[in-house]
Amino acid sequence: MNFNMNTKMKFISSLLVVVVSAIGFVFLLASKNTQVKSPSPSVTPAIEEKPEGRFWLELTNPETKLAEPINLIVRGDSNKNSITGFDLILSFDQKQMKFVSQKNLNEEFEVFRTVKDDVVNITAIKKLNSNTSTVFDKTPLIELTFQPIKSGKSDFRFEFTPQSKTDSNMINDKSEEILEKVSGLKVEVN
Amino acid sequence: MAKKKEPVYRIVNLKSLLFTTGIGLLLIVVILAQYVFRTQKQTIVSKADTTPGCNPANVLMAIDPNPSSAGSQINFSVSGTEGDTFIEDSWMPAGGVNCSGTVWGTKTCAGQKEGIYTWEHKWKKCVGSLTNCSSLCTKSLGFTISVRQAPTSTPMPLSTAVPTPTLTLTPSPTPTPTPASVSVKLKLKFQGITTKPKGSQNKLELAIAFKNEKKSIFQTVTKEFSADNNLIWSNADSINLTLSPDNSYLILVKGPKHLQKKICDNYPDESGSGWYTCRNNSYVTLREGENILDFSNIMLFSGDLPQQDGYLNSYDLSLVKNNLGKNDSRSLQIADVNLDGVVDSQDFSLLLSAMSIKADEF
Repeated sequence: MNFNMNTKMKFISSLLVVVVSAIGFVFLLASKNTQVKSPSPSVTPAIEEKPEGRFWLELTNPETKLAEPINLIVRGDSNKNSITGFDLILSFDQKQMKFVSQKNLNEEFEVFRTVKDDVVNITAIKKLNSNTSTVFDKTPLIELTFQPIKSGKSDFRFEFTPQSKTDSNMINDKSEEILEKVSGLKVEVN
Repeated sequence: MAKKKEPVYRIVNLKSLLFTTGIGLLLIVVILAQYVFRTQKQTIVSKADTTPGCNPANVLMAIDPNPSSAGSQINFSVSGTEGDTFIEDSWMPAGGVNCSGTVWGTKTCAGQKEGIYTWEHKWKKCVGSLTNCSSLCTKSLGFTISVRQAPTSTPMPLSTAVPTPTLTLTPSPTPTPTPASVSVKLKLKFQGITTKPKGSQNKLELAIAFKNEKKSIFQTVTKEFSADNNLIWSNADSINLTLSPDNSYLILVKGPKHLQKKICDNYPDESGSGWYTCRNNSYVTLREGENILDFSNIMLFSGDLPQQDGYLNSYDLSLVKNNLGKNDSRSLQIADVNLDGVVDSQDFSLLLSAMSIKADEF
């Protein structure tokens, strides 16, 4: 009787251990499954893809001579943003260069130009009848012609401060300034 | 003997049973705690997954003093429950104040040049971490810097001779000149407004600056104007000034969607729309009492749409282009230039016609 009682107690305690372990195991599995099912992207919140606009200059003819005018192409990239307008404020060395003319290379835009001293100010806005989306993808926008005055190195520089609306701008279809980067150009006239 | 051993076994078994049960319960508690912790973490993470939005009403901006004078210190302060992350500040147009670094709390800058300026505070609202932030939010505040106050000359002692006692005369009080009462009523005309605006549209808040360079005076007032049937805009309440009467004033007029115009004549005129410019040594004369200045023969051009920065550029043009056809109050407030109740091609044309002016006059 004593032996039976002892055996019974041992059996019950072993059974209890097994049951408790089983319950624990099931909980553990359940919690692991929940982890697997829930997508983990949220561990680090997705970084918002920042809109980026960029202007840069290209020289049409790499060989620049004093007697010949030089042509600069302004290109733009809007990183999938639809663009409504832009401003190009380009400064140049008046002792080295004389501004001659500008040519609009994108018919969807209406272009206005002012030149004061050593700064060319170009404002472009999409034409009123243009209702299509315009995305800049290394798009040529404006051609600028300068006449070299004397030989030597000459800088062309965009006036630009990020988020400021009073200098070079690239404005999207929500009227937000998205220009983030500009690259000027150094030209050597022989 | 056997009877004596029986209770020992029972005690051992009971202890083993209690121990096992305790371990089991502990295990369950640990696993449950882990489960609850993970569930909470997921909830927090899923909350952080949504991009937070900012509320400019939670950011309070103040400028002291406003107006201030060139050469003096100006305090720019920001407070509130957001606005302190990813700070950028700009003062437009450039050259008005000399500030550096970021602003949170109060920043003291030096006023450099007289004019009407805008302080723009930018920030992002972040939740949880600095990688979970709103896009850049903006709030602006306008301020005025007047001409530098002429320093009061301090007489320099000619010699350090020991003063000889002299008769002490009772100083007669120097009469303090009381500024004469000068009040101004203006008559203005705006480009493109061809019909009298209806209801609340017939109201424009204008900034009028009075500038007397000879006397180092620069005073700015904001006043509400409305149009009559002849489309002449005037202020019902006179502008009461603390200015001395003089014949050397320049007046700067800026509307809420307009480029600033500099006026130097009591009755300016122009042969073509927008052609009026100040001639050299030409000034407005202000006399004691009420001055009625009729500027309605010159056109004030639109172009600098809210938020104003002193320029007409692609940003202003895009506000019209991107709101074409709209007539909700927000669109009308920013882009309905001719106040006819809809943003349309006429507003666009009005801005294009002002492209030859392009910037505020000073």
